[in-house]
Amino acid sequence: MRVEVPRKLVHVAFGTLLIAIGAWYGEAALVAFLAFSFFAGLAIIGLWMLGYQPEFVALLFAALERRHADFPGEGALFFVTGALLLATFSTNFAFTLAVIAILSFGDGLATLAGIAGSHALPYNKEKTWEGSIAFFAAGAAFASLFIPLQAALFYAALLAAVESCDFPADDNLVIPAAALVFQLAFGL
Amino acid sequence: MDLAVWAFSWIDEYYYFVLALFTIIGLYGFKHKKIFIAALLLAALLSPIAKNFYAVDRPCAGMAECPDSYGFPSIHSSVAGVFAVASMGTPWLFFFLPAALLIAGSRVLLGVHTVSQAAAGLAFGAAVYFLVWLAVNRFRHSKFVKKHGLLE
Repeated sequence: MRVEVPRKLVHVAFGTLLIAIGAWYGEAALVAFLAFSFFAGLAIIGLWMLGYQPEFVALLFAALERRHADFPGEGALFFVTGALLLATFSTNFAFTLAVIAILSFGDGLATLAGIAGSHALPYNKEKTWEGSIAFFAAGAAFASLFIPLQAALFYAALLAAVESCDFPADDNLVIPAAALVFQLAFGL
Repeated sequence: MDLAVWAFSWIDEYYYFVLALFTIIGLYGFKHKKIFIAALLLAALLSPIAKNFYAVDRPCAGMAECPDSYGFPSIHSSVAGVFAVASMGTPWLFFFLPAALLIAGSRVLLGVHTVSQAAAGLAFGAAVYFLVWLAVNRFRHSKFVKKHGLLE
């Protein structure tokens, strides 16, 4: 709980930054920023794993890293990789921004609501109804800034269902990948 | 600039030799060798399928020396992405991270891919590696993973 709140706030803030870059400067700028973040993230995490551990990076990891991470900066690197995958493979840039909004605000608020929630999902005891409803509501609200409301509700519901499942992978990778599959299947 | 184009053209010409050499280095120096090989094979197998599925032309389409295949995503970048993330936690990162950047950049400089196509390849390769690693790591206590030493 102590680590989850600031970690998710950073998650939402980074997503907001990506959306701002995409909305103001366009697709090419977003792809370039994500590619830069990917290489910079790999370099920082890779150097950390080899023992180069500057104080400010240590403070950042201590404050923001999830408790059971397999390597430092895991969630952030997966988020950047998933967003880059989405930004390059999506055939509609408005859809890209909508899914980044769902991933940032939906997933961020789902975690916070899930911590406070007490009604576990029948098929996944690790997640709660409160978290899934928060994911859907926040995701749909922010996605509707970029795509029509009906489409925002539809994709937020689909991705909330994906997020609620117990996949053997990280949500930051699974949600963008699932969104791309849904886009191919249902259009937009 | 001419030297860079010459160097990138050389890498392109001897790509399979360079790839084989890099793979041997990976098998020698990476942390999770079996995951690396599985991800490399998957990325090399799925990238051409994605190319034919998306059917996006290369920026050089129609020119004499343009490769006779679609351009999205870049297979070179996809494979480079696997090497870059697989080298995390080893000193080989200092080699494979700049190499991935150079290989992806060279495809753009040679005019055979756009920046987006090269970035898509990198993301695809990295995502494939991470998904294989996460799946194996999730079942690390299973008999299958232990028996076959998949995390070695």
